[in-house]
Amino acid sequence: MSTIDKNDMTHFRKLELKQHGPVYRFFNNMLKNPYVLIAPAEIIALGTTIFALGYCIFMSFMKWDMITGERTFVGLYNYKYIFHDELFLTSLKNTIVFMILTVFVGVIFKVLIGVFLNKNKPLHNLVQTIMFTPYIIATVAIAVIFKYMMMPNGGVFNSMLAKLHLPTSEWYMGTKSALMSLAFISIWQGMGYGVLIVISGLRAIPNHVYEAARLDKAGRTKTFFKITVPLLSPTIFYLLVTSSVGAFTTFDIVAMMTDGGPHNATYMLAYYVYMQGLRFMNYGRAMAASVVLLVITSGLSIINFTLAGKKVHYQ
Amino acid sequence: MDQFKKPAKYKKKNSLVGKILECLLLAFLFILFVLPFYYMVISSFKTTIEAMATKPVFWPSKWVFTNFRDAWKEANFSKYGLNSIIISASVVVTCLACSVPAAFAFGRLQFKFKKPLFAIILSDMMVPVQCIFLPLFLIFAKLGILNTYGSMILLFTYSGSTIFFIRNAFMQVNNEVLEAARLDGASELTVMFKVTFPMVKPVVVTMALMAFLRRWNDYFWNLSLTTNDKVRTLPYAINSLNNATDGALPRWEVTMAGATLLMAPMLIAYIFANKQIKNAFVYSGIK
Amino acid sequence: MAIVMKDIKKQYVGTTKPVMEHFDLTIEDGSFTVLLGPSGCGKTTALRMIAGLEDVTDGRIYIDENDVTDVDPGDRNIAMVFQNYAIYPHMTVRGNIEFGLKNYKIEKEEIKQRVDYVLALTGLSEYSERKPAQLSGGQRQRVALARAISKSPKAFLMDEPLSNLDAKLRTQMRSEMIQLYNRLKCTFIYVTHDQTEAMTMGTDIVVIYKGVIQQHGTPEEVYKSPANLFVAQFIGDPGMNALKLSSGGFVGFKPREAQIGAAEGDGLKIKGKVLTREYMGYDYMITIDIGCGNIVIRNKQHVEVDQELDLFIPQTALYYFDENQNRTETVQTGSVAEVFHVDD
Repeated sequence: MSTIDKNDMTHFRKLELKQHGPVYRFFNNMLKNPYVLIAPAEIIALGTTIFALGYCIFMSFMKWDMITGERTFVGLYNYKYIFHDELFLTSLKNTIVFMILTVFVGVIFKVLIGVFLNKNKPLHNLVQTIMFTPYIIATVAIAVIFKYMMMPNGGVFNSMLAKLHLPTSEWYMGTKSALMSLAFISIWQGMGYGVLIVISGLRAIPNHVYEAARLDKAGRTKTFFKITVPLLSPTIFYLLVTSSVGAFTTFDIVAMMTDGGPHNATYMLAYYVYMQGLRFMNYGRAMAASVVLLVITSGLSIINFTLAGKKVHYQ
Repeated sequence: MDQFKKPAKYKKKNSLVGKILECLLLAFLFILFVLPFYYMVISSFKTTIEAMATKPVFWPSKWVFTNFRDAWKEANFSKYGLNSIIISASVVVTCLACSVPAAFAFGRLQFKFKKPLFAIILSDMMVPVQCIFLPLFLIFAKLGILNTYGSMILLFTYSGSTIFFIRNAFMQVNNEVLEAARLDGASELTVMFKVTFPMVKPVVVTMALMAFLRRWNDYFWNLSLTTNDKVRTLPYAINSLNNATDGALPRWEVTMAGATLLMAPMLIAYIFANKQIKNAFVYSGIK
Repeated sequence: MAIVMKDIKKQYVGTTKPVMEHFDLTIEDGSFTVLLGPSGCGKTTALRMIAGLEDVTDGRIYIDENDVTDVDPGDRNIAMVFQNYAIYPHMTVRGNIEFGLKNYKIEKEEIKQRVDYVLALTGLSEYSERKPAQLSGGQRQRVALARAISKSPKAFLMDEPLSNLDAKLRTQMRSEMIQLYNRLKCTFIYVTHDQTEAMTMGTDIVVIYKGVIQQHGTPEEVYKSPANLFVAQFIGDPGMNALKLSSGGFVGFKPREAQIGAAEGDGLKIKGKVLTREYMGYDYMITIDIGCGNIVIRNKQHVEVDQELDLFIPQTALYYFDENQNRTETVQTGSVAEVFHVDD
């Protein structure tokens, strides 16, 4: 120890231990009690999620007379009804097409652009930062700007296409192009997030793997397919699942831009549930449709969780 | 050095063509993601004629600032904006008040039924909102709390992912430090707020930011848990701005001005704290 | 005036076997007691129970004749230095030391006095406003020490505090720790698996194995007269060689007592072949195959690998253990059955 004058610790009195009062002890013990700490979150979670979900499943087997308020058990009637409902089948088909478009096209671009931007150079980082912006901006703002730019007459997109002598499109107003347009906007909005996740996945791959590949004279293409893609597969898988769940629950962009039109071309599952429930007051049908939605998304989530659990082992 | 020959198939690391292609691709991405925002902002300064011109105008010949005033008035910003601020700010407070203690318990304490209780907490990550909005609407109607600030705040108070990530942060905290604090005579309250909390602060701040963001941008619950305009927020107002034309042509410049105002706070926050915000999303994305 | 653990039983929740049972330990006031043992032996558990960080399943703990078994750790008037220092990462050096004192509601003036004193004592005065992240490992260790000293506790509990330091710093901190002990004249309870630390610092050593105290004595006692075979083989560099005899008893000798070359007189005579030879500076560490296992000796003589050796250990250097592995004065006889290691 350093040399200091010899006045020793002896001149400090021993600490007096205080006796805590009952109030202190009560609160101190409360805070040590985990059940007290989790109570608010548990109560709200039980009420807004578990109970609501149970209610939803229960109600999907009921018929609710709006005039008398009477509820009768009808078994699978609601399910039978929606599976014979043209509109439901259309929206299911639209949702699947929309999912395939956004998930596969989206993820391929996210991976490619992620690999391209993962250089940690100022320009690359700037572009990556800018790409992320749409993700944190309200979808409403994105919907109105694309509505404006995608106008068939006088919209930016068509006038640019015309200038390049390319065929123009009706965009979200055309029966054939509407779903594609929404998919495009959806991919555009989620691109930055996907790229960010891909880059963070890439950063987790140890550099020595790439160095070993370079010493083994592996070219760029070979490195990408034999090293990057396999080692990135957990990330890619995560993106696939989250974006397919996202696709199945797409609502905002439909309600804001097309209201399911034109000619039901963009009518999707989530929008169907909303319209049946709050617009047409067909509670039973709406809830049956939402249970179908639940089965699909939780199936996807379960796959995600089990495979995500597996991935830990080989890392 | 002459005896050392270059390998026959020696490739230059960065050829000029590659560099040019790289720059072109960067420029393309830059335009693809900046153009819509640029066009939105620039259009909010246009005259009605220029906004509706068949040939798009990228630089207004005359700058009109009154569009913002019109948007403010037409979208009733003073009402919806205030709603947005009241609800989003309250949600940050209630969400943290509900999440931090729960996260502390799940991250640091051992107790019976911990696993099933935690599964309940995570349930909202598994259940799509479409399955619960209708039951909630009916329940809230029965309780008579539709169209109240309370119901809108309540819904965003609990978030499974928020608790999950704060819990993970708590789990990272070295147990010895907490024990040292207890040996230092600290009460549990002191241990929680003066010792543990500062160590998880970055994550908590991030989660607060995300709670605000979620609520500020939300459109779905605006639409599905209300029957009138009383507690609806800005995204709803901006969307109606675009639709409420009563047969008249939409005034795009006003809509754009409104949308610009809506996204301005987020955009400014993002410009100043983009690293933190991006990290927040990476953090909450990878499980 | 002492710290007493009386008939302690500890069993962790969810396990079937207790870590320790009927554990009795009295730590004398003012001693530097080292709890020494291999990892998992229960020494850290014992320390943490004294601190109050771990509940006892059964039994009582007394500090100065007060039963503290159910007293909160903060109210036991003890300080602890942890293996990973456990300093508050978000507080400055000064803040780390003040934190505890503030919890005890001490007046500002006295807090400042105490903090300045311990900062000077540990040579940290110029770092008082730094955050832990800006400090080296040794400095963090000093912060942890300073924080402990500032409380002027009844006892200092230390859980392997030097194990995260590099070898050179460890030696230095060891000597500083001894100086600190000499100056404070306070009870130190020190947990380690490193016998060098135990031998050099402790006034008392408690050797613990499998939750049971094997021996409690001064460093000289545990080194010179081990109570049983475990202590004999655990203490020393390396520990005692033990030969199991056909009678069930054991005969042991310290590696440095073996003489190379044939000799006359009473004692143990062994033949063997050199397996390895490690140069240790002052002497060699030589591993020898004696047919029924390998023994290790320390000797200055240069030998070659594969060389055949005659070894002689004089009668006075032999230790005897009975079939229960306890030390005995009775000479054990019989033919050598095998080389024995307690850990196996």
